Amino acid sequence: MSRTEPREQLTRTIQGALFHAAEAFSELVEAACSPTASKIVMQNVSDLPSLLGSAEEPMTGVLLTLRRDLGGFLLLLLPTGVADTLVARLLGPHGWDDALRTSTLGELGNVVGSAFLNYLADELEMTVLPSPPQVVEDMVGAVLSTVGAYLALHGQPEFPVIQTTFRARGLGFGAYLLWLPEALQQLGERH
Amino acid sequence: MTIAIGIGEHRIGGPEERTWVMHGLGSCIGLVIADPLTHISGAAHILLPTRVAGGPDVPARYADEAVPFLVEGMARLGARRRGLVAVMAGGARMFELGHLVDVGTRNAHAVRRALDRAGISLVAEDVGGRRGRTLWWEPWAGTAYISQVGGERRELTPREHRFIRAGLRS
Repeated sequence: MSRTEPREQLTRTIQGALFHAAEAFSELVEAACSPTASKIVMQNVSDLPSLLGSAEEPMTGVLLTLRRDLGGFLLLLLPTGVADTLVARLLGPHGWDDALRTSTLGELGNVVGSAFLNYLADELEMTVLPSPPQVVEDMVGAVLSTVGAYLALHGQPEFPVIQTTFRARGLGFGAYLLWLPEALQQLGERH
Repeated sequence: MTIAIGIGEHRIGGPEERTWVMHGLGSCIGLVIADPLTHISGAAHILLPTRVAGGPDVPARYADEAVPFLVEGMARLGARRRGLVAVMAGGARMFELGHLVDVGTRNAHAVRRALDRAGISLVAEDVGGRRGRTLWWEPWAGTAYISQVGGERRELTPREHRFIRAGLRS
């Protein structure tokens, strides 16, 4: 058996999980979405704030903290205008307030995140315990650097980032899904 | 043009420097130490309160190491070791992560402790809360500014601590 097989298998599993998440996203927004520009990179915390472009870009983030066998973070990031578009698509153009908007975005992150995590957990035969979703609207750099600080508490100079963009056909917007596991190496060993 | 100081990076220089900026401070702290007499400044973009086992050897990344590290670097450029002043921003609690420590609050406490140990007066701070910030420093004027999403840029440095008072520029 070649040494690269577990890694390739893990990459396939991750791609499968991303497709499941994209399907869940598609069903919610009633538009065909596919994961594009997916990549697995080792990232230094210093480079994390500008991972998606300008660190000052306002974005809406839905964060799930992951515990048990698979620690880390899962983050759905939406440019602020896209978040408003999605909420209007899900709730209608009028008649909702900030609380309902936040709740809707949290549920969106929860559904998409759960689709991703359930697939991974089944394939890897692991138990994952995600937190309730937290919605934050702020500079993307502030969101990402804070997640990076928690990962840096483990002392790793670099950590894996799994990144994809959901492009909704015909709607002209993109949403980002980032998975930042505490470690990827032991996942590969489980295959 | 500005000079961006990323996570764990630092900058030391005199009044000839262009504006320094630390973008998107969440739980991180943007710290600036300045010598009002020589107009030499130092800044660090701090990630964690202290180094953890296996953490990279980057002093500006850790609150307890960044302060003496900046003071040493500034002294090499001719700054005094006494009479220094500091401003800081950041240290937000961006998320409610029940089982995890509040890194932002710990960062702010660690910076205050390190400044206290070094005898440096903290003349202005904008820390805590739930919002990210960007911190600017004008090394020629000794003036810090902060901004948040949807807000105007505002001055952080008290008037009496600027290098240049209203209407004057060296």
